[in-house]
Amino acid sequence: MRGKYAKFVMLSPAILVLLATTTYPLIYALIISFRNWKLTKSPEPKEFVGLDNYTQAFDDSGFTNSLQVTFLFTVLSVSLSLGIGLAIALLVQKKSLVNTILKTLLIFPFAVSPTLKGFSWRFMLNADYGLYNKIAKTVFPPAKDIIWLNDTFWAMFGLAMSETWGWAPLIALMFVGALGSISPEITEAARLDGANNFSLFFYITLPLLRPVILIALLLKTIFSLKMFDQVVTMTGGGPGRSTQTFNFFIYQIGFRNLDMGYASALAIMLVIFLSILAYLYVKLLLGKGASA
Amino acid sequence: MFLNHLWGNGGDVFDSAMRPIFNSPAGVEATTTYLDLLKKGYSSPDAVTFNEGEAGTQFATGKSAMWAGWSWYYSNFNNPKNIAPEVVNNVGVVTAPAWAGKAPITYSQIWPVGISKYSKNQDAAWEYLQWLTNTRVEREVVLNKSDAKFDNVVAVHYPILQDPEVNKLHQNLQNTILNVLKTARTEPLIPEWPQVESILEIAINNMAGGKPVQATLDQAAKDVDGIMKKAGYYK
Repeated sequence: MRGKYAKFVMLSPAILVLLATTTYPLIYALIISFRNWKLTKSPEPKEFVGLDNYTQAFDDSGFTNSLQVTFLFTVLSVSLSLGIGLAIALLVQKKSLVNTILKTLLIFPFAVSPTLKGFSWRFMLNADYGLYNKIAKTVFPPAKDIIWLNDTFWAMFGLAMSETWGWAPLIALMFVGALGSISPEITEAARLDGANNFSLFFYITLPLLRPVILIALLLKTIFSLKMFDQVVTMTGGGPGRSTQTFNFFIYQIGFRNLDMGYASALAIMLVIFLSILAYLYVKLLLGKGASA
Repeated sequence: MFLNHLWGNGGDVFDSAMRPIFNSPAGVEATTTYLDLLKKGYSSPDAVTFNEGEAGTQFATGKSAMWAGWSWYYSNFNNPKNIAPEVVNNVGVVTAPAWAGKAPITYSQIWPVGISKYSKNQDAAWEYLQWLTNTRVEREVVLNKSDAKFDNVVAVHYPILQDPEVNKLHQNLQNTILNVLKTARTEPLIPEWPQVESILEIAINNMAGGKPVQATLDQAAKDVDGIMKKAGYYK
């Protein structure tokens, strides 16, 4: 009996910290989302306004714009991260000294803070003295007049690449683990049946990687939907509003327009959507573990 | 810079009833002239992505001949540590340019100091404020050039701004500040300003990227109109 309750006692400090830093602010944000609170007008939340803060979003062109931007960004960064990650994994999967060193290096980009990634990429994409700028314009002279961060397409692409740069190597590591678990007997049997590299990849490797692909897809999607740091340090939401992701839009409403009620409502919307995805992620992860 | 052009040409963001009027003919002319700085090649093309720091850097590295901005940047541009050698001690100051035959109307901001009504040390705070805004102390600070890192050129008292010794040390910077302050204006001091400013910024960025001036300003005016109506300034 003592043993049964001991684990709750052990966990309680961590649970208290969690409650204080995430659950309490979340519930408070939920309460504020139903009230009128503009910091420019009062230091405290004012009257109850029901769902007004939520319905306000659907009249706001900034809201619809940020949904489109976030969707575009998510599609771009998820496909790039998974595609490049898979390519890297296939390249380093064979056992060799070089590959062991490379696999160790793969974790470093993910460890770089997103804010720093944004600043670095902003420097490297500078149309005057940026590194990527010089490389691109040397390799492709017709590009010499492009101001990368002022072009709707390139700013979004640059944003997606700064995120992919950090995530693709991590996803590659996930795939490396999964590739390693594919029994060599399967590949041998396939080759005996006359499979070439192409069909081996598409009919054996990819289907066996499906669980990991799904998990990586869901995880990356969750993170892409809340993209914020690089928007602040790299593009500022620009050019115009073309890189204003949803999380950045919430930040502008809350900390620039100082409309806390509206910002809380938007944030709760994001939380609900992400929670659904997170639930699917955990179900997928635990389901996989249970069947393994 | 946008506001300088707008105000100098007789235009404004709002009229007396707080309706947006920056898309008036004066406003369109001001915006077009402002964007011509970019389109006619007076600024480098990548200036469209610059924030204040990056613009300052371009001037500090000797790539730009002129820089329009805050008076206190003068200290930055004369610090030999980060500035190109041909720029250090080679920086002059003038009043911001104006439309032909009209006075410059520049955009100013101030940093207020105050005592919190919740403070438990209001007397000590008051004593501190008296020291902080003391004219003798201010003069000493402005004249102190012993360390470029702590250089300060800003004075807030008329006697110091007109002081001949202070001006001699800074190529007449303080007299220029004084002259500019006579016709300077602040942004509209309303709670909705951050939202309005955001709309204007996005519109200007879009126009700098090539969108048509009149149409973009009209749409921005429509958006601002929506904000002002919702805030209750008019029906």
